Amino acid sequence: MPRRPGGDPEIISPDGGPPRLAVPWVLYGISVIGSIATVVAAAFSAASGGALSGLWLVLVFLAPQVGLLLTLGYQAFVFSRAYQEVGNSFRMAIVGNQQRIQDLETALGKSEGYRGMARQISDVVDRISAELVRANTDLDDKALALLLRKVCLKVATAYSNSSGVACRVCVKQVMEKPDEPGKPYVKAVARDTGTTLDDRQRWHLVEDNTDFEALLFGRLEFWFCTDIQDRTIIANYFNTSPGDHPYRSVVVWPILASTGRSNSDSLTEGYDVAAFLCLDSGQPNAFDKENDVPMGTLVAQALGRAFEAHYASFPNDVSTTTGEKSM
Amino acid sequence: MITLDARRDEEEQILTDKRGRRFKRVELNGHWVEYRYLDAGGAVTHAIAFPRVPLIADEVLADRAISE
Repeated sequence: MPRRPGGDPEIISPDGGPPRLAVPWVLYGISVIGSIATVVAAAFSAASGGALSGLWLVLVFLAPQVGLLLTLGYQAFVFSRAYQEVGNSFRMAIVGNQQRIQDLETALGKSEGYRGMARQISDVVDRISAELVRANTDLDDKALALLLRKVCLKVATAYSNSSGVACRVCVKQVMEKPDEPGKPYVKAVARDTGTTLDDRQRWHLVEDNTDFEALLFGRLEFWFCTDIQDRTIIANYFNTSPGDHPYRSVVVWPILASTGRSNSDSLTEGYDVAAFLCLDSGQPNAFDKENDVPMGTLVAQALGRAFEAHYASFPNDVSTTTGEKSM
Repeated sequence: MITLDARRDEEEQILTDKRGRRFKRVELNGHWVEYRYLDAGGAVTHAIAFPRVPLIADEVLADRAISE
């Protein structure tokens, strides 16, 4: 960047580094030239025979020049300190602004991601509603199973796109084992990757799973964990999933459904936990409580209506001895 | 049936879970079951309900359209 006439200091360094002081060399030059001219004039005068008048000229004209130089030097010192402070302030302001711009860019990217996720979740809820309309009132086993599978796939895609990391989704039903009344278990009935033989055979006791127990017995609205491998969390976290916790970020929502028992002597009112919608990722801090949780809540609520439609397909004379529904 | 971690008091039909919570088990309407938790005096403190039967039969879960 070119210097301005008169040697005005430049605040911004051309190389983009910290600003440096530009010394007013022009003023110094003028002072020095004036001083030299005075000395030459005095010398010339002395050489021409007027020694006293020459010395007088030196005293009269040289002293102010020396004073001017000292003044300019002092000004340069004061100004250099001031410019350094101004430069530092500018530099800090620039660095702060760069950080704010980065934060804004990050927030904008996240906002775009959440907007995309909101659209996809909205599609999921629309699909569930459409399926309920199509089924009229009853949703049979196969229709529900297909719906849950598609929902898991779409929700996993939505969260993966939004978070930028691979996410998994499954639905686990709460129920008693047919041969073990008195103990609530969960069992996977749908996964984004598809159900497996392992799912059909594997039951998880609610009491052995911190998240499910907190939701079933604590009646929480959701269970959220940024990193289950965090030392302070894992000490109190219990889970019966196979493997050594192949996930770190976890969100679980209860799927509440009406039991449809208005004439019973039930002590619980309204809605109870029929299943859990589970979201996890192998990356820590993959989810944001403020933005990610409400989206899953919408899906869980819509699935609750699908479950109620499914229960409507059950006959009223369900066997009370085997735990299996009679069809 | 008596389970490994819960025992049934045959007279009062009271169960105890792994955490030592005592509760009565009540089948509601064939599909749902309710656990009514009791305090030391036998009064119900709170209750939870959840499905008693599978939502989806294993044969359906094994369907290729669902499992793959």
